[in-house]
Parts: sequence; structure tokens; C-alpha cells
Amino acid sequence: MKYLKVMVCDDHQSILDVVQLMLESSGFEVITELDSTQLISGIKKNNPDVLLLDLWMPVLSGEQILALIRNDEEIKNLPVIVLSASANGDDIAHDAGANSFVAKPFDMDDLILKIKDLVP
Amino acid sequence: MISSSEKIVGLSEMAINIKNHSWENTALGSISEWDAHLIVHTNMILSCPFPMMIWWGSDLVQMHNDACKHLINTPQNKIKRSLGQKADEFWSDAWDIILEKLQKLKNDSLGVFEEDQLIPIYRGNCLEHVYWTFSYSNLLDSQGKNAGVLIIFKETSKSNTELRQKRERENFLLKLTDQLTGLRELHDIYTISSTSILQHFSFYGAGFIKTGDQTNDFDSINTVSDDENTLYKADLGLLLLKALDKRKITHPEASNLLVMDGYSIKLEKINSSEDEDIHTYFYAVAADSYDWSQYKLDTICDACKRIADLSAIAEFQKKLIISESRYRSLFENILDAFMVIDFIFDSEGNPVNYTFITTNPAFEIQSGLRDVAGKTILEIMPDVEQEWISAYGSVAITGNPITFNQYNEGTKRHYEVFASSVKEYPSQVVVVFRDVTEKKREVERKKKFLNLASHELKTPLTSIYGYLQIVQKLYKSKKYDRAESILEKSVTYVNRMHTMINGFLHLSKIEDSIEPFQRETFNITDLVKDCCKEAVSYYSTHRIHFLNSDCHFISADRKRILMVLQNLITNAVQYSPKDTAILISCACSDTEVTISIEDEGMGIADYEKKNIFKKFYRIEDNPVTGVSGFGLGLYICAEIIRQHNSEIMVKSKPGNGTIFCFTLPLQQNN
Repeated sequence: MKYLKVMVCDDHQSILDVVQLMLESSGFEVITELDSTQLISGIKKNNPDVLLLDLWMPVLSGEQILALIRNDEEIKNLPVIVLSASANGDDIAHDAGANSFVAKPFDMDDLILKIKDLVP
Repeated sequence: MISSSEKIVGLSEMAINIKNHSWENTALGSISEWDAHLIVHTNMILSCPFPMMIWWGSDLVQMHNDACKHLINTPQNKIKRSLGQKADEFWSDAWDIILEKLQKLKNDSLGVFEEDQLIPIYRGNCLEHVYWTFSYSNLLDSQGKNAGVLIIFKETSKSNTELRQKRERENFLLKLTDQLTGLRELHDIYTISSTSILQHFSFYGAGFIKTGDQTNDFDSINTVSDDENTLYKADLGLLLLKALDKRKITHPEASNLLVMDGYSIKLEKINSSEDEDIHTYFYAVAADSYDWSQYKLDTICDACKRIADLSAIAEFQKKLIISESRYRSLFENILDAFMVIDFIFDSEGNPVNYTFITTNPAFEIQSGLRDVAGKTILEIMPDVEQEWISAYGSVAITGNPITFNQYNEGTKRHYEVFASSVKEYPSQVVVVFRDVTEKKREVERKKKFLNLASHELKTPLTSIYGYLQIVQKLYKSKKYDRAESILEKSVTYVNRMHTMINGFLHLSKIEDSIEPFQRETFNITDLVKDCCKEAVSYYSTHRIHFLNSDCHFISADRKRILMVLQNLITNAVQYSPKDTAILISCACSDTEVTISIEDEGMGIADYEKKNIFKKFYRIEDNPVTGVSGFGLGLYICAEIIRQHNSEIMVKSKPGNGTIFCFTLPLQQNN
């Protein structure tokens, strides 16, 4: 079976740790990125199947990243799931161009399901 | 032929006198030569019981009847002399007036009639003010020409005196009222009225005194005296004391007239205090032989009533002025802005504009609009939002008050507005508005804070929840050994959440000043040492050292200082690499102690130094370890040190570590 490569970007190391543990224990390959400014180059280098993206980040926010991705010919079709602590993240995610949304604190099974749904 | 004396009819005294008078020495000549009409007129007056006189011929020779006798009041010889006298000689004292009347008579065939006319004449030995009611009419001779004057008269002085006195009293009281109206000070009222009364009645002295039922003291308010008399103020005082002596006044209500020590004293009550304890009297002092006529007593009584009324009015007006000035003071000084506006409506009755009638200083400050009275809002702020005009206008139309919140683009502030209409002037509206921008901002800040706090708390919560789910899975697949380390991690995050929560509780306590500042005297060295010990056991990742210098006691809030220490140490640990050193020192001078925490961490750039103490500020560079928390720690520390009248200082260069320090005064007498 092909391992799904998931890239996670969040400005909290603790979130990156727990997501990594969650997904690796379920058989995914996980690449973490703490610095949102490095993310675009990281995506191009690692070529993940799915991106998990936190919305509220300093310097470059999740929305801004999404805009960059969607405008970039190389990676504009990358499936993105947005992680957010906001209650109305759903609308924001949709407007920003994300494919799916998961609220913090998130359910592990729900997250895994959403990832699998996005990757054919 | 009838003898001349027989032509004169009657046996009255004057009839006889006339018959026997030697008329041939007068311009009339003897009775036999008299005009027939003169005889008729003379007989007529002689038979009339009402006082009558005739002046005949160009010389106006006089004769009269019995009834005139006592009116003219001449001694016997004068009666005789009055007969046949020329009128102008007999009535010489009053001739100016009489001549005037005679001129009038010449012009008016209907005669002259005067009532209560003052024509002073000599009676007895003195000039008397005599009042007469009389008529002058023409007498015709047998040729039908005016040949004489008929005078019918009565003295009205007696009844006139009463009238006169009444008028005099009225005039005096009117004048007094004029003098006193408009005066606001009791002192002035009393002084002017005493002077007026003293002069009118020629008293020795007059004034007002206050005396109490319970005391023997009295306050002499405004004594006025007639300096030409030898009654000096001191004497007057003693006199009054005697007069007011309890034994002399039987009842506060009595209006007393006392005679003693060669003086007569009149007391008249003006008023009493509200509790009926202190009474104010008017007093007048005169010689003991002074004629206290009923008229004078009545006049003084009336005058005192006026004075009582006017002083009550003055007191009332004074209170009104004080109340008005209090209201004005409130209006001027209140912090809420206040305005009264008058609406202008269009032809359909819609409010389109309003004029400012009055505003208070707070209005000028809040709105920035000055000198607006008389101008309209559209003149001053042509771009004002229509909704303000409509909102206030609705109050003018419906008469119902309204309250609302609004943001004003012009001043960029939020207001809580209360507007109500003015009953008597339906187009006018009174508006009070309170600047609640600060309050609103505070509410916004709190909302923002709450959002941020809940957002931040979700981060460690995410970890905890995530790890617990992982452990659940591990238990299902019986991989227990890995579970332990994962659960340990969860506990760490629980603690972190706890710290965070304490952080904002403390912050909110500091901001709302709930947790009271508790100063105590304690040994600062001991505190720092203990804190270090705790840090050493808690943070295995760093080398923590305590540099001691012998310090003693300070007076501060122990809990809060401890919190600052813990916070700064935690920051040092979080912002410096593993296995580096953290130095905590406590250095003393004679008067103060400096506590500093030094790390070998990433350092802080100059431009960040002012920012790091701000609320919610987090340095945005990559921290070496994933730093959670959300920038409250340093803000709280800075606040605490500020509360101790000191400041946290930071010395740092990027890549060269950081020193945080603060200074507190030592407790001097140990």
C-alpha cells in the first residue's frame, strides 16, 4: 500500500508533535513545518499528498498561504485541510479556498477520514 | 317807607351787627343806599344756618352770617372787624389762593366748588392748616350785572385729618416699600427701614434686635440714632437690655410700649425663627413725654408688617439664587455633555435642522464645538448624519424620551444619548450625552482577550486530547509501554494550561485591582534563594545558579514579587538553549536591592525591547523551543514592579543573552 504523505504546518511545536504521533501511528508519512514562510518551498520539495494548515499563524497566516498555493501553477491543486481554533472556521476555510476543515481540539478518527477522502 | 334797618330782617346776632354797623364808612355806603339785590342776598344769608359770606362791590366788602363765627374764630373784636372789611384785607394770609379762585369764577358762570382745599389762615395766634369745602358763585345786582360773590363754606379739617393721616401713612409705607424692595440682604433692609422710621417720627433711636426665649442675649442688628440727641449707642444698648429683661416682656407676642428711665420704648415683633426659639423685634426709643398717638402706633405696626414680608421675600430670593447657582454649577461642571436644541421642520412637518439654544462646557469638550448657541447644526457640521437629526426630531414630534447608543463620525467616539422633550416648548429637545468610548473600548478589549485566551487554551487542549486518543488506541492494541510516556506529556500540557489560566486570572485581578496589594516586610535574599532552589529541581535542562550578596529586608507584596521571579526564570529557560546557564543574583547597596536574572539565550533586539512588556506581545522570531503562552508574563511582571514604584529593565543584544533586572528599596530600620 502506498504511504500517504501528509505535510503539517502550525506555529506550535506541541501541535506538530501530537499530529505527527497521531498520523504516524496510523500509517502516514508526516513532514512537519513550524515556519510558515518556509512552507511553499517545503511543499515543492517534499510534494505531499495533503497539507494540514493552521489558520492563525504569525507573519504569514493560513489564508495568505492558501492564496499563494492556489495561485501557484505547480501546486494549486494540492488538497488542503485547515486546522482552526475558531468556531466559524468552516466559512473562513471555504472562502479561503481550502478543501476541508477540522476544528481544534480535533478528533483523530475524523481527521484521518477527511485526509483519506481528499486523496483519491 | 321802611327804615333802612328794618330792611335787614331777623334777630340773629349778625343781623343786629349788620344793622348797627357804620356802613357809610365803607364803599357800600349806608344800608339805605344799598342795591335792592344786596338787601335780598343779605337777608337770605342771615336766615341760613349754613355758613355763608357775601363779598360785594369792587372792594369786595365782606359780610357774613352767624354760622361763620366760630369758623373764622376771631376774638370778639375781630368779628366786628370782619364785617365791612375788604375781603383781601381780612383774608390777607390766604388771598393768593382766593384770588386764584375768583379768577376762575370770572371765567365760569357755574361757579367754583372746592372740596377739602387747604387754605391756611391765622386763627387764635397761629397759622393753622385749615381745610375747606366751599363754593364761590356770582351775585347779580338789580341791573343784572355781576356785583358780588356768594361764599358758602365749611371747614373739613377734622374729618380731613383722618383722611390726611391715612394718606400720610400710605405715602410713608409706599416710600418704605420702595426703599426696601429689591434688597436681598437683611442687614440692608433693617438699616434702611430703621433710618426711615427714625426720621419720619423723629425718634431718638430705632433698630432691630434678636432675642431668644432661652437666653438673655440679644443681637442688636442695625441701631440707628439721632445724633443730635444725647442718646449714645451705649446708652441705647443698656436701655434695651433692661426693656428686654424677661420680667418686662410677658409674652413674645406682645407689642410693648414701655416707659422707663426718662425714655419711652416701643417694641414690635417682626418674626420668629422656624422653631419659635428666636424672635426679631423692631424697637424705637423716644423721650418719655413723646406723644404716642394711635396713628403713630398703627403706622409703626403696618411698617413692621411690611418689613417682615419684605425680609421674608429677601430670604426666599436668596435661597433661590443659591439654588440657581448650585444648579448652574452642576450644569457647568458635570462631566456629561448637555445641550438644548430647537427644531426646524419642513413643510411636511419633518425635522430637518435644529438650532442650539444652550450647551454646557462638557459639551464643548466632548464634541469640540464651541460658541454654537444661536447657530444650527447644518451650519456647523454640514456633513452630520441625518440619523442624529431624525432621532432627536422624533423626540420633538412624539414627546417621548429616547435613549440610544451611537458612534459619531465627526468626533470618532461612542456616545450613550438620552433625549427628552421640553413640556412648555414642544419644538425643543434636551439632550444629555455621555462619552462611553473608553467603556466600549474596554468591552472590546475584554472580548478580544477572551477570544485570544480561548484560542490559546485550545492549543494545549489539542495536544492533550490528541495524546489521550492515541493512548486509547494503544490500549486497544495492548501496547501499554508507550502509553506511559505519552500520558506524561499530557500531564505537562495540563500544567501548561493551568499556568495559562492562572496567568489571565491574575491579569484580570491586577487590572480590576481585585487582589489587594499586601505589603509585608520579608527577607528578599531568602525569597530569591528559595525560588532558585525550586527552579533547579523543576528545570533539568538548564544550569541555574544563585549569586548571593548579603541583603536584608524589604517591604513589598511577597506573593507578587515571587510571581515576577518565577516568570522571569521561566522565560530565561524557554528562551535560551538547553544546557546553558541562568544566573540569578541579589545585589545590595546601602539603600536598595537589585535582583537580576541573566540567560545565555537568543537575546532581544533593541526595537523589541519596548514591545516585550506589552500585553499579548510575543516575539515573532523562531523560538528555539516551541514556546506557548501568549505574551502575558512580562506584561504582568512589569505591572507588578510598577505597583512597587519601580521598573523592570532589560539589557540584551541579539545572540548575546539577556539580563532582566529590577530594584527595590531596602527597609531602613532593621
